[in-house]
Amino acid sequence: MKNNFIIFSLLIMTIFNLLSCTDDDKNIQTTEFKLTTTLPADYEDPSISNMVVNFTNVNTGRVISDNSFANNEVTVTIPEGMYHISMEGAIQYKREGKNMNGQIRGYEESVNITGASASLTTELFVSQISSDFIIAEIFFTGTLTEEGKQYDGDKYIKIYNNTDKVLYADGLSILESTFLTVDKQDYTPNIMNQAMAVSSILTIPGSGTEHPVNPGEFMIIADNAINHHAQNSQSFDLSKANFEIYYDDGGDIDNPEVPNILTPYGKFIFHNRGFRSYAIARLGDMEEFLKNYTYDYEWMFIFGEYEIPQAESCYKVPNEMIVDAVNLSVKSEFQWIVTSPTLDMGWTYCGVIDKDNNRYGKSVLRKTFSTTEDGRAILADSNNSTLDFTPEATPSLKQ
Amino acid sequence: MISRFILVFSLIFQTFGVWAQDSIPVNTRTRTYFSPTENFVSQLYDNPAINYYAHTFSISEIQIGWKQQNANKAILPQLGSEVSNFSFNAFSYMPLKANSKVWGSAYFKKGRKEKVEWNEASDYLMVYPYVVADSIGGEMDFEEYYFAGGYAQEHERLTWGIYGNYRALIEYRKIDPRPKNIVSDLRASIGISVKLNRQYLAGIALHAGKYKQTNDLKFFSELGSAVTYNLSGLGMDYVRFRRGATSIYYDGERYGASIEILPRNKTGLSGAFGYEKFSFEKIISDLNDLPLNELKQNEMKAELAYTSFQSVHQWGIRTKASYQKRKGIESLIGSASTNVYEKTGEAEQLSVKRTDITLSGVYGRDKNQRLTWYVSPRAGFNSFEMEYLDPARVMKLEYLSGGMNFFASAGYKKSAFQLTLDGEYRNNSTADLQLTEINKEQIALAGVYAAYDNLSTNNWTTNIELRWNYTLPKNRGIFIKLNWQHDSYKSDLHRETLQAHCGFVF
Repeated sequence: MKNNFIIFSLLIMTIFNLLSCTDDDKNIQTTEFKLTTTLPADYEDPSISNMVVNFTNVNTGRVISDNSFANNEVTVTIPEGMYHISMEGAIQYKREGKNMNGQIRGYEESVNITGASASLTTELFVSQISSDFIIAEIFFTGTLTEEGKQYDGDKYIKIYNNTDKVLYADGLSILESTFLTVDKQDYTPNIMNQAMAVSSILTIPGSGTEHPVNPGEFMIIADNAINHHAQNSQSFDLSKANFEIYYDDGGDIDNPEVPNILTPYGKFIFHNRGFRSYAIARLGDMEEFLKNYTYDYEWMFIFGEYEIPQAESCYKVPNEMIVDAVNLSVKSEFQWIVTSPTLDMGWTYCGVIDKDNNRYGKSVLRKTFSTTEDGRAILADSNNSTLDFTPEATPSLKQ
Repeated sequence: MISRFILVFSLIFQTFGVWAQDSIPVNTRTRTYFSPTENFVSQLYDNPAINYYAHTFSISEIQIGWKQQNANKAILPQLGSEVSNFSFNAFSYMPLKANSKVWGSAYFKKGRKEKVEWNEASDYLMVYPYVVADSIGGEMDFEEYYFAGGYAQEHERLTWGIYGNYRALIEYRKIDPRPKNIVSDLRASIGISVKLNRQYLAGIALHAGKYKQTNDLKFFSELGSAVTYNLSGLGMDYVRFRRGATSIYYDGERYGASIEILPRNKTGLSGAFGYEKFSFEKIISDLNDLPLNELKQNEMKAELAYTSFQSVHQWGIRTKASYQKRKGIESLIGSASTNVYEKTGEAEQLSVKRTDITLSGVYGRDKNQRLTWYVSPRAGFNSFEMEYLDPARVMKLEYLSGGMNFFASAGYKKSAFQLTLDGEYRNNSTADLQLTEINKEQIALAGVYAAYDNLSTNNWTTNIELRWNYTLPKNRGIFIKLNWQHDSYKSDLHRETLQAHCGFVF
């Protein structure tokens, strides 16, 4: 029996040894990824330098930076996964015989990088310096009362003249995106690179020269243009706003002292969790616009095993009409930007999670890039809200 | 649920009570059942056919009890620092006929764990590190139900047996964050044993099980909620699913086999080897059943012993070893459309290796109703290594431990007293925590640091248990049992556990 027991013991030890010594294959699957870039055709003798390419892993948040860009391409070996790719560098080029300098950028969203090797071609774009208004601030969260209850009506958007000449706000439209940055769908046809789908439009009235704005000055368009501080100590006075958003559908407040902004399409309601994006645009003749720029799109609503085709309609604003755009989202929920990256390749936020109770009373505020000798602030405008804006900032009306 | 528990429990134990007719005095049976020699080799009895030979007498016990555990901080914050619970326990082991035996056990616990942090799941040690966590945590109320039953029958040289148990656990919190966890854990075994000769038996058993846990974490506050994390080990998490993806379930299964060899009279060499494969998927139900993680665990354990428990001088020596390897796999998730996420691949990012080796002995004298005593020294080695591949992170811990158990039992008239003293010191011989690519948003690292602070220090445990048994007519008895345990860690952690039980034994 002792012999049997010894055999049994040796067998156990052998199995232990075999199983415990089989080591794992400790290798993460990586992909050799080649990113090739192209430029629009009208750039003569382009020369790109200092290009930094950031690969942001969507699942883990890890950022892998690479600066080996050369000959319009970069090759990196990175772990398999889905990435947002952003590129930024400097460009020298000629246009109409003149030497030009600028910032060049590229952006690709939700790129699945898997397999031993993969490649992608993306078109770069040169950031244009705005010659029109920019959005300086969006206060979309509202405030809390002293009792901790939500307080609506004190939201506003601030439009700023970032140029060195007088601009006229007449006819300037404020757009709210149809799509949410927290809910990516396969909308067909996909117009994202050509236009912005909008769910509502506000337009500043005027014949063309009624609402001048000097360089370095701004206009405020308020939800309810009243002195909110009188009823909520944590809010502020919006009775001096330039325009008020008013809908004559009952329940809305109309301060007769403040002119109402035009509401040609939809109902403009600031999303107080920051799921929508906003833009300002010159739409031209509104009747013509509303006649010619409808956007009929389809998508599939999927819930569990159910797939329900959806057909909807809104308006689309071509990128050429848009003078500035700001994507808003929430870190925990972000899925995509809902403008072309040529308008805004980033996004900003108030609140890092959905329904974040720390977001109230905060706004997104454009950073000051520099100040001129006469004290005029030049605000950052690189068409990247992530860089240009201070998220969760104290509203300018409270400073 | 509790009414069903009481109904099933009552039916089982009414039936057992009818059969429970053993001529051995109840105090003798109790002393023997709880003596260190009776359970000195234990792994053998995972095979239900061999459990037929576990005891030569019948015993049944019903008890109610209270447990109160207080500590100045948690050893593992994921498990909470303090526990208080009421419990109802029962077990029975008895011959049914001349060649068959039946056994069973059941318990019900209802209580509360305090200061559970960085974990909103149940059965943390089973499903770690793939849990949903937040920085708030809090108390966790729980109710746990357990039923087990086995049957074995001997046919000349062959004995066969079956065994099954079912555990249900409900855990919840009534303030934000509000988890509601439901665990369902079913296990079954079937085994046979063969007499090799007049003394020795050899057995083989198959084991299988099904595990499911659902977690539903909600926030009711209108003003928002805390950040939640789907953790993937050593502070890493799915950044993409922060805050969201809080309705999940774990779908697991286990299967294994074991072989055993032993002497029927508990004198001689014995050995057991068991292997079990356990795996589960963590699935996000509120993202259309997206499989987020998969964990594959292989575990083997062995026990070799020599025992001599037939004379007045009883002694034995035993070595136990277990090795557990966990592999954690993360899904690579592609773009989403209407909450339908595409799984594009997977990455084996996590590995955990755990080794436990113990060498122990027992020596004692059994003088029947008079003083019976045993001393059981032990020494052990424990190793735990958790590694995250990319970014490279590792936690490694090793301990050398030594301990002593003293058991004494003495009878006086209708009373019998049992005293158990136990102490163990664990010397932390290796402690290493290396974390790369840390960023300020990896808040969940707080849970890793808190656990490491305690686990990387020397610690010791002392335990005292006193049990008084009193014989009633018809060879039945009652008992009261008090147990006090003190745990100390050099990280300035002190934990006291007090338990009190009373019950009926027959």
